[in-house]
Amino acid sequence: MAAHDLLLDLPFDLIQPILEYLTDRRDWNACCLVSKSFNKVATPLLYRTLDSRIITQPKNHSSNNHTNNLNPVLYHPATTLISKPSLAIHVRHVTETGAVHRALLPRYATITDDALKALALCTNLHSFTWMDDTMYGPGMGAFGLGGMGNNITKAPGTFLTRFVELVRGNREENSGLPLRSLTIRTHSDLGSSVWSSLNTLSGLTRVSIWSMDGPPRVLQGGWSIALGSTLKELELGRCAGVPPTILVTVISQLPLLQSLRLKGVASNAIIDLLTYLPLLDNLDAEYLPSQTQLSPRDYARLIMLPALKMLTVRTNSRRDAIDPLKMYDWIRLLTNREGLQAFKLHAFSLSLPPISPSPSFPSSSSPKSYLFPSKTGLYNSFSIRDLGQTLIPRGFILDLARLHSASLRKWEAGEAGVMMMGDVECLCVSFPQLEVLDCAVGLEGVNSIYHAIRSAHNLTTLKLHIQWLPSSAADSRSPYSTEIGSRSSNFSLKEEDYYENSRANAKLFRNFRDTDKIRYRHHSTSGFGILSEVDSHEGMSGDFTTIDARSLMLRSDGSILRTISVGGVLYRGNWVVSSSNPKEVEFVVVSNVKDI
Amino acid sequence: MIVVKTSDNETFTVDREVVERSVLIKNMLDDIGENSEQAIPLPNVNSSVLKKVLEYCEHHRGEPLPAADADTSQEDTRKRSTDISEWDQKFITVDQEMLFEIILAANYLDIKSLLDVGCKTVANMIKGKTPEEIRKLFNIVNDFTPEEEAQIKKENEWAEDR
Repeated sequence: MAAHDLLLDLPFDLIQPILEYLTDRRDWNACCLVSKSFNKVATPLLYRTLDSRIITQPKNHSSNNHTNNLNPVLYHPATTLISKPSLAIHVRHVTETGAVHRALLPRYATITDDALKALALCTNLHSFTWMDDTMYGPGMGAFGLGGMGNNITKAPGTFLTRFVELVRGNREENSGLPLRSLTIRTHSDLGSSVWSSLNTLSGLTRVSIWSMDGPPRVLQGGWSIALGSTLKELELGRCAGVPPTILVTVISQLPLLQSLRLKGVASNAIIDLLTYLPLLDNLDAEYLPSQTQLSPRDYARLIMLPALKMLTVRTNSRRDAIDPLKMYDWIRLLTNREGLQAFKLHAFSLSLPPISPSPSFPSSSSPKSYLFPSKTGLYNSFSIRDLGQTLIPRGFILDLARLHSASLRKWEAGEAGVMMMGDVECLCVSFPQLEVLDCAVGLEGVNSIYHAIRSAHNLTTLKLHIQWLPSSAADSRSPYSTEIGSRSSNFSLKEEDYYENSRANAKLFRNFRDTDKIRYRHHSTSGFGILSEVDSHEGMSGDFTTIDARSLMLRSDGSILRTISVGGVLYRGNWVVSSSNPKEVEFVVVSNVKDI
Repeated sequence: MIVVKTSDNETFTVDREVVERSVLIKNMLDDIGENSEQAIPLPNVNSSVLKKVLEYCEHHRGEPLPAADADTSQEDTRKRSTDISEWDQKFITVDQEMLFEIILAANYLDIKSLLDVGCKTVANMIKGKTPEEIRKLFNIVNDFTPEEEAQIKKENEWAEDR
């Protein structure tokens, strides 16, 4: 090889730092096959995080039989680790699923034994996740293989019991695993024997429990004592029905907690719990109004509230369910110490999924979505009529600014509360460090966005859930001039259907435009009829184009705004090497990209 | 002012604030004390690369340095963010040889933000490519036998995207 070629080659010392910047497993997988030196670097990265999947493939392709002729194939790393134990030392995170260990796949009958044998080799295992989203027991698993009831004895929980034994180790040959983080997400009850073995695990720094069936599991029964000297992060996904005294006992035994997520705890009880957690800086909780008032004793203890850096409040989006003003008072209490960096207000609805052009909409009728509300949320789900009740009070913004003006970097209100563009402007002026702004707004036109965010010099991400308002000004971008259907064509078929529907409806109701709001019954593709209020201008976000996104991102020389989402369409901008001239760079905006 | 000397014996005189963006040099300066007249030797960096690196340090002068004790989660966030500023993108738009040399120098001199920009640029080239495309990109010879290749494919089958 000529010396010149050698110079162009990637030096071995650089492979490691570069491949660490990849994030997608597929890329590491490809790198493993490039060359021996690439393989040496990429293999540990690929084996750092393991999971398994069951993929159903048609048994044979020529068959036009549409019945249950599917062949479930299991992709699990256990076999590889057992035959090549040297790989196991790289493993840090493992996810196992109930579906795999229900023994529903006769071809992989030994998978539970194999997986445990492989896990025993993973001497650097730091984190383990158990996922079981099957709700109705083994007989009604994902493959519809009915009549397998006799497999109930092979309950997936036995896997967990044996895993706990592995982690704890025994005196002689096995010293245990250095597990620090444990996540349990299960729709079915694991049973008390599995829980009592889990309760013996100590040394964990992070525990997350979402057990949706059976008695609530909140580290009661001594587990919190075992974890008290190490636990820093805790998620309890189902606390409803747990007496506050038990929660106080558990939480008061965990003085090192820095991060806490609770679901199903009354708001006043949360205030009380926080007074036991001096180090807490991240709280994620629901606003569940209590019947009881704070007692004088409670008020006296408020001085012991921790200084939160991150606060996420989840609220029921049904306006009649809560009194929003009381909620804002509660948030004021939680944030009465300086230094809040991120505030997130998240709305979910247990009863009525808001009408949404999201492609995931039809599937949201499955019960699963209610238990684990999706992070992506749903957009455009409010209508102007609600404004009076849902407006985030200007006074609340100003109160937060009084203490957190210098620290707040993220404001993510989603559509949990509506803001007028004047409030957005107020927010941008009040919090000069603001980097992420995500909110629902009533908007008159694209120009008002420029105006509102002009003082937010540190803004990197702007997400607007937009309700286009009729513009009074002579704005050439007036929504009236645009057809509802004129949107980008990258939508899925289902969404197209949705727009077909809404376009038809819009046509029907065009005469009522002046009234702004129209109540109609929308039949979604899933066949459910959902009564909703939909503004006739909804979908007008097609009015916002890639060109608008680009000019917002480059609105000034110092602008670092790179992510914009308007009406559910996500735009990302980046400086890249010009395609026409490799010596130049150009700013490229892509739309409908995956959020990161 | 600080004097640094490259592998090809060229000397550069630079503001302390600029050159201290290199944690390596900063630590050296802290060790030898304020008033040393001696040039700091950088035997792993040649003058053409150091010129580029100093251009970068000069532009980013005064910006906060990433904390030395940043924990892994912050580290990960930093690595995951794909944003490269216009100036940095222009700066890093160089031929592949220079790109690698800049990354090597950033690694040696311990300039985290420059290492970020360089590694992200190369990582972005790799993303979504097949093994063969990656080999072509970096002029890499496939040194696996077909048997070895098949063996690796089989071992890593669990990670295949289907």
